[in-house]
Amino acid sequence: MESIRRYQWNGSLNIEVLTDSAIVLAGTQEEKCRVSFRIPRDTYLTIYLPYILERLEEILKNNVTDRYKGWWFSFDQVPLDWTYPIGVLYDSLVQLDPSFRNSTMTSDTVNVWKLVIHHDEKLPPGIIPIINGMKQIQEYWMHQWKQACFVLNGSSKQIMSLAKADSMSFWYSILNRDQKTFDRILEKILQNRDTVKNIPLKIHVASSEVKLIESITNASTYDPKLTLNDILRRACPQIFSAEEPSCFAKPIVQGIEVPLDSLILNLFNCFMSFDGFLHVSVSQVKK
Amino acid sequence: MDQLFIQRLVERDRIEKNFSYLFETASVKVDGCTDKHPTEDTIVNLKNELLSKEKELDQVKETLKVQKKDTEKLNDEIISLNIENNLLQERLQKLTEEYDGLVDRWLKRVQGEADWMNQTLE
Repeated sequence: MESIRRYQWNGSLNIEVLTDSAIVLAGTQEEKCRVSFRIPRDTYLTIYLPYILERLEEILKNNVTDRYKGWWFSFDQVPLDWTYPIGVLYDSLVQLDPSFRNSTMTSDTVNVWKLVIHHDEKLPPGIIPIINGMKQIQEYWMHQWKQACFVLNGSSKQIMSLAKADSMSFWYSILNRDQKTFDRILEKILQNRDTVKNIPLKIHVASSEVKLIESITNASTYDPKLTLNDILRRACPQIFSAEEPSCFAKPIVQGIEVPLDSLILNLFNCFMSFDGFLHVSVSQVKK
Repeated sequence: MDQLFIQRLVERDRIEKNFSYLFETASVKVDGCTDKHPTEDTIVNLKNELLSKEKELDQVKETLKVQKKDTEKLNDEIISLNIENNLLQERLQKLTEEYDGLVDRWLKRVQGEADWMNQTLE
């Protein structure tokens, strides 16, 4: 399991960000409006806003007064919700089908996710504004952990009683990609992994036509023998019908297809995200 | 199961990390400000100027819009006054004609009376 966690922690995505022409100085060459970089799959894209803006600053029409406020990303004209890890957004919005991707992959294929960066005083509907910079992102992440901890243990005591130094190191381990520190503090939160009350799970359903992520969170009684199939059948019966196994919907976790008969606890222990949740993207592959 | 996961993760990384050395690893900048080169000051000032001019332009556009509306209102007013004026002119003309007719009739009557009086005196 250690090596799975390592692979999961080190998973990364190549991203190309194009600047919205409305905020670019007139006459700027198109190649200057792009910035390419690599970021971990398991993180929020907005954490890297200062890095991106630093590279785009000179072609922007106006000075960057706030590096978080009023900025958002879009993919195929769909605004990205920054509150989900970027890997989850990628798997859901691209409708990732790993086996199809493997079959079309050649040695000179480059996997890049192309996004567009926008800025306006008015954000598109559904996007949470960031008015307090990195602090707000950290607080949001902490709230996710409190929720996850509550689902796991029935109380958020474990995360709330962390020492200030520990909770800061926990956050900085995400920023500095320090898995050792992250795992050390994780152990304090998840002391009894086998006696959990429930599994914090988010299911993301998007379709190729409507590129909108719908998150399903259903409270249900937890049973250690619960498989992913049981949960998906309960949460989205229209996709994973009980009678015949769905041949066009695939559960994707951290960029890989996971078997439907996987035990949910095992999946959580292997692929839990940096916000304490297990994110499952339902990829609806065309027949 | 774990072996399957590892195999699939390796496969994922083989694709997603292919040519990844061409992409710079993004770093996190915790504090809000960056080190500015002194020569960038001009650009910063110019961009500020641009922003203020853009705002000014927006204001001017807004004023223009309001003024355009005012002009339209004024035009409407002029048209309605013109119509009113035309109607009043017509009425005036009618009344003048009526008045002239009355004066003529009265003059004729007075003339008749005067002629009759003269005849009686003679």
